[in-house]
Amino acid sequence: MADRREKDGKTKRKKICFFTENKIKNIDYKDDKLLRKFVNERGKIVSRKISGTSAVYQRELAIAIKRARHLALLPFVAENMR
Amino acid sequence: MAKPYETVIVVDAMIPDEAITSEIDAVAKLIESQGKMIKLDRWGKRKLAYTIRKRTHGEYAVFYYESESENGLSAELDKRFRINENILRWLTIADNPVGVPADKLPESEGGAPVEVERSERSDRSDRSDRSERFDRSDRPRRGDD
Repeated sequence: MADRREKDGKTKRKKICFFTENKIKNIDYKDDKLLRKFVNERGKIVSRKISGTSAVYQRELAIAIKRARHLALLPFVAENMR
Repeated sequence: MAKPYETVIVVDAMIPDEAITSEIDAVAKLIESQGKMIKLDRWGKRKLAYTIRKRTHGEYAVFYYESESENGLSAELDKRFRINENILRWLTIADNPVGVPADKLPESEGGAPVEVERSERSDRSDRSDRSERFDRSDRPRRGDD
């Protein structure tokens, strides 16, 4: 992900993947506290660009969030989360 | 080959406590009949993130167990849950390396967890309170109206 960095001159973000950083191997759809960190005020899943999550984990994350939504642990739409 | 499973159910919190317990016990019994229960995790009453059939709270319970896939336990559970009106949501996952607190992963490193059964989620009746949420009249007009 360093390819763009130098050439751009404008992009300066260097967010690291929360999951690789904390060495978490599997994402639990039951852990709404963790999942909430990756969802915005409207309840929408945050993009990788913003959260800095790596591709592999983002996919798992999305699945986990969707399951949590199914179990009403997370909302589908919200107006106020934060 | 015994596979590890986990099933989460959400029971209607409006029914009396004894009824909730009996529902959960009935599920546990069914699991025990066709497999082996590893752990039962009751989370108790929780506020739902959105209303389900007009209810605002649910009792959550997670069952960790293992069973032979040929037993058809998952299908049987699903059938029961579907019929039972007190169970609002359920989700059964097989081979989930997460969950099952305190070890006990019976060697079946089958890799990716597989979602086995989940409840349907078509209670459009509850969608009605969603449309009241914002005032539609201040939606920007499109070019073609």
